[in-house]
Amino acid sequence: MIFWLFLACGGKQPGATRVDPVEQTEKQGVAMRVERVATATGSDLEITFLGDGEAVLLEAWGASGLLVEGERARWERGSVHTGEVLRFSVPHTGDGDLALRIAGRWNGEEGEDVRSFTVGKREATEVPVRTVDGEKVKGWTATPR
Amino acid sequence: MLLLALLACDPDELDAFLEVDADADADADADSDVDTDTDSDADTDVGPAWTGTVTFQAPPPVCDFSGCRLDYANPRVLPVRHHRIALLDGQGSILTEGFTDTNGGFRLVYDGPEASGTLQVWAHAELPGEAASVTVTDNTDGIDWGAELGTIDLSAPTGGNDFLIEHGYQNGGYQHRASGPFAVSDSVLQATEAWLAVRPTGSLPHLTVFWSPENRPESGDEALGQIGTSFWRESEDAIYLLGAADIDTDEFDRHVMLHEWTHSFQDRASRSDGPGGSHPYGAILDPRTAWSEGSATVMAVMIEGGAYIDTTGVGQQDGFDNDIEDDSGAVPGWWSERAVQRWGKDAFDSTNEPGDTVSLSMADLWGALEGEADEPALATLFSFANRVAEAHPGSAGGLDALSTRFGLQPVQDAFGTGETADGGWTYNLPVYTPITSTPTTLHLDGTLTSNRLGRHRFVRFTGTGGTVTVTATSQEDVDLRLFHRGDQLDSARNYCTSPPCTETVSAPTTAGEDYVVVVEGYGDGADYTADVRTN
Repeated sequence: MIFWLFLACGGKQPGATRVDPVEQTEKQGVAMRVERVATATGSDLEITFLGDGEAVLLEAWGASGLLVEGERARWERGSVHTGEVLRFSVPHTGDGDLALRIAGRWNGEEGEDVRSFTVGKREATEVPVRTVDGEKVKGWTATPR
Repeated sequence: MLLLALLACDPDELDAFLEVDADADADADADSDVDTDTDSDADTDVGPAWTGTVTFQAPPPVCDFSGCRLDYANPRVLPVRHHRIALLDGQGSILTEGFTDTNGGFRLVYDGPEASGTLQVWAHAELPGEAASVTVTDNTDGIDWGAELGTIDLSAPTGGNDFLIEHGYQNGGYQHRASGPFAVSDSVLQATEAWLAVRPTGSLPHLTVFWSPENRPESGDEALGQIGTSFWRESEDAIYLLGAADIDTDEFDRHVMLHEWTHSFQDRASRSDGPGGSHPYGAILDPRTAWSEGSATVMAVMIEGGAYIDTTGVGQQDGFDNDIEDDSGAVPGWWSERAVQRWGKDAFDSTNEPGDTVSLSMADLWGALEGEADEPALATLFSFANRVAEAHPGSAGGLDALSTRFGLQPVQDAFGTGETADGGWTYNLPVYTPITSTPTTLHLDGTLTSNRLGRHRFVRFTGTGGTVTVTATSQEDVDLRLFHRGDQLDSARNYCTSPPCTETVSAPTTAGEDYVVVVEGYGDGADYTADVRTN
């Protein structure tokens, strides 16, 4: 993700040399752009499809304490096309993560993509931390067999 | 006097030593805990010994008619192999430490005044012979992962100190995530050992895997867990792995972990020229990206077996699988990640369905991957298929049939010579354009994302024995990178706002050797040109 941000933000600066981006691999995903705007009652989401898809299913739910109202399945469509924009609202209360799952068949390949957005003050998972010879180590306790 | 026996000095010796003890444990005979070591370095490991085993639960990802999920009800129980383990006193000081053996067995010697001690294991593994090591660390605070095993009585040596690190999923949610880090480190061991099985003297640099329950598919601050997705980052020698419960976790999605590990292997012991970035389903990719991503999935499936599974969702009860043995829906061509997956799987698996007559071995697969390291051409399906065909001339006919099946002409060489499929734009051919002192016009598409076919162009020339200069001139901004067998010899990456834009690279050459220049396009037009020539 950093890679693309670098390219997008680089601009053209006369006399300057283009800096090598931070290269990293990513999991395979759906060609789309997802943007979220917080509202008084939840989130407005805008999905721009950057590729064609069939049998597309969109789900939204809450995690880490966020309570999302309504069914998880938000939208189903036989096909979507490049450039198509989907806008919808997700009402929710509390803090946590708003998660989205977009599944379908993309250029003949089945696959899905999961994205999330932090909403409010997200509580981190509590993990015991110990100090061993001055070095910290974290993790839970195992069970005797 | 306090006598501490530190067993961690040499994992090689320790492993042999501990395997003896693991056998003794299997006898379920407490007396067998008597030191049976015949190691010459006896002064470091004699004394009262406490033995046992450490295992962990790994819920397997499964898919059936009802969908994909982590099967928490039927976890695999696996040994915590080659991991650092220590006996601690009440203040957290190490009394003695060592490494578990290949069966998860441990033997810790301690002859001191403490009445009890706490066993601690780290998600840090070292393979014997310094072949490889891995540490699982939380990227949100930089603290290494581990697990407290429990307290043991030190008044008299005991065996049977057996501990299970559980997955912690109960009553519809995680009560803890104790075994997650150990599933991660074990995946690294699994992959490395698969390679060492054919390269017994091989070694790899230390690998860090950043995993956290906070790691979620959101772009932002990695220190907060907003890592975007699971990925390999060469500049840090590190894999970042998703771990956010009820959204997307990957610690038990072994194919995902092995996929990212293969990227690390490619950058360390093989070759990847892909520029990284997103690679959506069905995309017409830069062949370097198609190869890098497709081959990583091939390796994940060949090492772990089954279909590639990635679980997601509430309770990790959703997800998808990709059976790369299934040819239906494959988008053919040298730009297709899925075509690379299927070509690679069919060439090296033992299952021969109609159209697949080739069954090369895992040793052949590892060898072909390693061979990419000094390949004159860029690492693509062409270079890989050509290398495999040259190494196995008896399978040439079957390999050609695979190429035809997945949308390629029978591969003539590593440069894709003779390829006729253009990915929808006639200017995508030839795959590499030979250049001379007479300018050659290339066409580039600036509307495409950076790792898509058509955004950049590959050119090649033969070394003269002297210094060769390559110049590109365009009305748009183009950059140049000059490569010889994967090594970047020179680059020209100046921003240009006043056309014509000219970039030049040069390097001393060896007569007869192949050199490659990547012409990177940064223009905006859907079809703009660059004239490239040698000087």
